[in-house]
Amino acid sequence: MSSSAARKRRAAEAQAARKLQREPVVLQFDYQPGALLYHGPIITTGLTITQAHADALTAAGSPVPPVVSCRFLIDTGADGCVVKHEFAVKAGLKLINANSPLAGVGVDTTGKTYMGRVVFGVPSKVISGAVHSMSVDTQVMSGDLKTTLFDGLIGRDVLQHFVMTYDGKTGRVTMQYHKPSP
Amino acid sequence: MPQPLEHETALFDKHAEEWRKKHLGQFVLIKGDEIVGFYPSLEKAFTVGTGRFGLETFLVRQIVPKDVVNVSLYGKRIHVA
Repeated sequence: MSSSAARKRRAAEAQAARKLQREPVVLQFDYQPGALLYHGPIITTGLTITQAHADALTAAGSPVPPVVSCRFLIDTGADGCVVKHEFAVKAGLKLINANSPLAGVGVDTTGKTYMGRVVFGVPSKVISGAVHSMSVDTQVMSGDLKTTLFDGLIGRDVLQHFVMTYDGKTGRVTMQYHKPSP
Repeated sequence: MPQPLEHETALFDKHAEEWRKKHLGQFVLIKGDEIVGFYPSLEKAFTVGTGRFGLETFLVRQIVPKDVVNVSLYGKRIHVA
């Protein structure tokens, strides 16, 4: 490739990066209004370990577990995230507290809290093929959720990074990510 | 056989009242008998813990006003008499 072509390519990449940076990142979920009323907003997204944990595993020569797909109920009544115990184990999350009381309806906790990362991906509307990746590192409690509809709850610890809208009439739920300041 | 973090949890419980007065809202990092420090965020405490102790277990816990840390209300119906 000539130096002129390389310059053009770099300029195009820089322009695409700027466009991506400016683009609002919005997760959008469309439900049947009746389903939204009955089940609440359930989304499928990833659960994994934090970068610090992954670095420690790599340094020790251990494999880094893959991201686990989880169905989460968006629960504005929960201050933190909860997942079924097997999902915390499958994702390889790091135990940081073995005695954490939890009060709630429909949750029978194991009393264990893990450090984990909830990951989101949103396809760009301005750059074809590009995906906005976001993640929130947070503590994740494990519990016995007595339902087969979802695998965990996303609480306000994750929602604090988003502007959320809930349209009960149309069935649309959106979550716009607050991008960190550059 | 001791449970994971049993010792650290006992140490936390022993100091919890005192820490609520001085470190409310902060995250404490404990490894064995060592109270490593208090941090303003979960991420900071976890990163320090992982940096020092690698894959070994350590406790990170927020100092909150009381021991109930999460209230979730989900369910098909909640009946009110």
